[in-house]
Amino acid sequence: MRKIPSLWIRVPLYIVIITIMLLVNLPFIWMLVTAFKHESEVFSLPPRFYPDFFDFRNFAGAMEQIPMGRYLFNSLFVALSVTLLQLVFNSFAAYGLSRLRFKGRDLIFLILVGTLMVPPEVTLVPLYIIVKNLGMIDSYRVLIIPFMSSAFGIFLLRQFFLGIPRELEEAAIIDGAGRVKIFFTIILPLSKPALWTMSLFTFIAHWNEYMWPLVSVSDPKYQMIQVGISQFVSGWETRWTYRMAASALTVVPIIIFFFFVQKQFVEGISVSGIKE
Amino acid sequence: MPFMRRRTREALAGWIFISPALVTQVLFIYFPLGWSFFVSFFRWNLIRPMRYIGFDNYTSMFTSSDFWHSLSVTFVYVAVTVPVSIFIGLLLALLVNLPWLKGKGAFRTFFYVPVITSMAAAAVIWAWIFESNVGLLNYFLSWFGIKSINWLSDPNYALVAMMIIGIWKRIGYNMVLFLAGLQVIPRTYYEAADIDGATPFKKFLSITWPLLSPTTLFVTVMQFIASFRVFVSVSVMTRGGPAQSTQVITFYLYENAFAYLKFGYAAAISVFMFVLMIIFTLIQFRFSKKRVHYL
Amino acid sequence: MGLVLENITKIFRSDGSDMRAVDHIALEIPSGALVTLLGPSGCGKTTTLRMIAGFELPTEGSVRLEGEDITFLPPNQRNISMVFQSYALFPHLSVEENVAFGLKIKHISRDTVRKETREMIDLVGLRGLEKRRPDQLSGGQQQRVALARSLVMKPKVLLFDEPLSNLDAKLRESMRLEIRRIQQETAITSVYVTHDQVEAMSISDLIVIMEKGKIMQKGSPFEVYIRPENAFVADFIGKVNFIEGVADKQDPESGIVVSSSLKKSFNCRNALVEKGRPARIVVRPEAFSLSNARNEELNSIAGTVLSYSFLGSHLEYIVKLPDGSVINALEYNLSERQLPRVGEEKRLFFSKENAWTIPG
Ligand SMILES: Nc1ncnc2c1ncn2[C@@H]1O[C@H](COP(=O)(O)OP(=O)(O)O)[C@@H](O)[C@H]1O
Ligand SMILES: [Mg+2]
Repeated sequence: MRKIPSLWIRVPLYIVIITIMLLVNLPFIWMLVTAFKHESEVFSLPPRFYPDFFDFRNFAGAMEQIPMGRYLFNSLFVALSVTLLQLVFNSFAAYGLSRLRFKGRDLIFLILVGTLMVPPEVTLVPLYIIVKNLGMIDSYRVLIIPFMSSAFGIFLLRQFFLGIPRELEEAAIIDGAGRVKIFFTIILPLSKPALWTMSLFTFIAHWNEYMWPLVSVSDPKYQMIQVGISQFVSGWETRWTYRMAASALTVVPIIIFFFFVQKQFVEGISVSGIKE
Repeated sequence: MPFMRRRTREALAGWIFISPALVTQVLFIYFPLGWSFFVSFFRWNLIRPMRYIGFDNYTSMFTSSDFWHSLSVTFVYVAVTVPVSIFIGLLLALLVNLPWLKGKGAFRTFFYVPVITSMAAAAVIWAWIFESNVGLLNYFLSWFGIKSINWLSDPNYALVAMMIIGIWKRIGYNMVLFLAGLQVIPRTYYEAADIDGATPFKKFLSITWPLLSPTTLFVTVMQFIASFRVFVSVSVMTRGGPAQSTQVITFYLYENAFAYLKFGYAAAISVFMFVLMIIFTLIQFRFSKKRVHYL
Repeated sequence: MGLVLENITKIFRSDGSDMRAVDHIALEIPSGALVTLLGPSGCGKTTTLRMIAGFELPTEGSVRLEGEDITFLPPNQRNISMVFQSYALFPHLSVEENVAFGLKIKHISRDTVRKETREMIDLVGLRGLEKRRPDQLSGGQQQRVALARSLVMKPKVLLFDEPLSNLDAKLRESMRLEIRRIQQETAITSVYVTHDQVEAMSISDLIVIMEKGKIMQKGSPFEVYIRPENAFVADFIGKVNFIEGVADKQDPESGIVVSSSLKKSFNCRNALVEKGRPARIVVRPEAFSLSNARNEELNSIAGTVLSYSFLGSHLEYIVKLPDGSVINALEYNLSERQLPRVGEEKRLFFSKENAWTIPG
């Protein structure tokens, strides 16, 4: 049994931890406070941590200045599409790499996972040129197709599949199940936790994606929210209340989503340690 | 031989399963990577045809003061953000790991929130905090008698502002990795130290820190790579300014490609970055292999 | 003939070195029989079974089922089913769904699937548990599901790979009777792998004893116990004592073996060892009778009691012979109702019917 330190140690440490927690989250708190403030309150000194009245007009105002709704929809659509496609392609690849034996398999695995070492900045220019030549600029396709599979997801799923006992598969084989049947009725249902973790990572990463839509999309019709919101900073005439309202619309859904799934998400990180 | 047929069938199934992923990875990563090398030997602005110029892009890169400037800005950024965010991440991990602490999960979650939010939105929010007249940061600093700072428009401070955001965004991630590392250290070591009457500080120095070293190394390399790739905060908030004080290498690359349309030159920068990344990764492999032998 | 293994051999190749896991196994299994492959861990039992199932291809030899060569057929076309050591139940499916899994693949009508699944669940005694998941079942119940899942496919051959090794001793006993009952009821040709000789004795029509990939002996439980062909088999099946000597007469009913170290000759059944060759007399512990008599009798040896254990129904002795060797003997008739003393002299007698001879 470990002894518990006295209150004189515990209370100050609690205060330290809570203070750091508040500081780390202060930007979000401040964002929300500002988003509900009236324009005139924003410039009061000292800053006030509660608005006089909750003013929802800032959200409407922000939506008027840029097509927030459209951007949000685009981000949702793109992030969901990428996630779904990766679920299919990554799990296919992971199955082939973990469960089927063929020549060159290990080499293919290295090739696929080797892309983890290639940062997107490095391929940004040629990738842009390729999609431009393919006439894909300004479309959903350009935001989705290059990301149909990912080394991270393949790696994660392969590790998981390798842990499924081979005997389960053999039991299914002897019952007459083919590869595809086994994949869909045995492997996938048993891998729900890993598939879910991978989906969360993928969804959040693509919801937050900034560089690629910045480069490959200029038509607001296809623009994603992260690039959209950055337009708010460059325009100096924009009100801070609008900016914070727009930020809140971008950030709050994902934070709420994260609160629901955080356990799996954070544990996924500790296991894989690969992705932000 | 039927023997062959079965093997072949399995191989065929294997190729079918992996090919969609293989095709996308090759098409959208390896092919562009190869093309980066290729294009880096050409002068090209998308409008006029490509012209082969040998190593000219590389020579002009290595003789360009802008390039060296952006590299040095990046390294200053890295040199500060890596140790600081690792230190704070470790500190948070140690705090959250205190055995008697209640609400561990909640603390862990809240420290992690900045990691999952987008850098673009974070940059917009931080721009408001850095605001020079009524920004929250200057207001806090005024308590200590510090005069208002033009965080984003003063060349002396803009990079500091970028560092603050970068650190803020990463500490939760580093904390989680350290927490995972801490769980692996056997409790018996601490119990033995308790019997010897060791102080918490002594226990940290003689048990936690040495046994955590594989994690620390991993966190360091991950943080190094992440810091080196800093882009979004600069792109959203300062666009390399003021007076090029935040002109990091990624933004330099971006501008050369998409503002000046110097695609060949930008490709040369990509290749340079890639080589650096590979070196970092190899260093990590090298060290982590050694660790295994020590343990 | 049901299932025939013709000199099958399996060589595993790993990092340059060859590993002969199964070495020319030849075996004929009559339809409806239960044959046990018995041997220590690593002797190649599982590999043999996996070649029958089609999960491994033999390096040499062939497998025939009812006259048809199935050596290269994939597992699902062999009409063979298997009960795995780990049961290999699908953790995400209910008992019912596990049992019905294979039937559903066969594209038979839903009613038939339901009916046959129900019958099979009844046969293995799992009625009422249909909706449970495997992790909500005890080890024995999981075992029954595994059995039902295999049986429902009406295979021509059923393979068992150490199916009881994960159960506790008591359950193991009742389950093996259950398996035997169901196997006889359904009359499915079965190959059963175990390393437990008691299990093998209790359920088999034929026991095949294996060691290092080779067959050491095959025969009925009675045969391999009473007439082992070599020291490995004698030793592996039950407890045994060896008396070393040289054959003096080869005769299945009245042979003679002379032990120079004990300075005695013994009457025994010697079908295997030619006159003049080194021989071992195999005497089971329970074949001895012990007495305090001093007179030299035929087939008797004097020794001193090193130790004994009282086990209720019987006494177990360790007796040291004059030549230093040690004998393990059981005494069931505790006629004198009193315990022996350590160091006491005892005379061990065995009849020639209970003395079987193998090469030394
Ligand atoms: N896939 C394999 N690759 C290499 N060696 C194997 C393989 N499977 C089994 N072996 C080896 O073959 C021998 C027999 O194994 P096995 O048939 O599993 O024995 P048993 O079931 O009797 O315990 C063992 O020495 C084992 O290590
Ligand atoms: Mg085995």
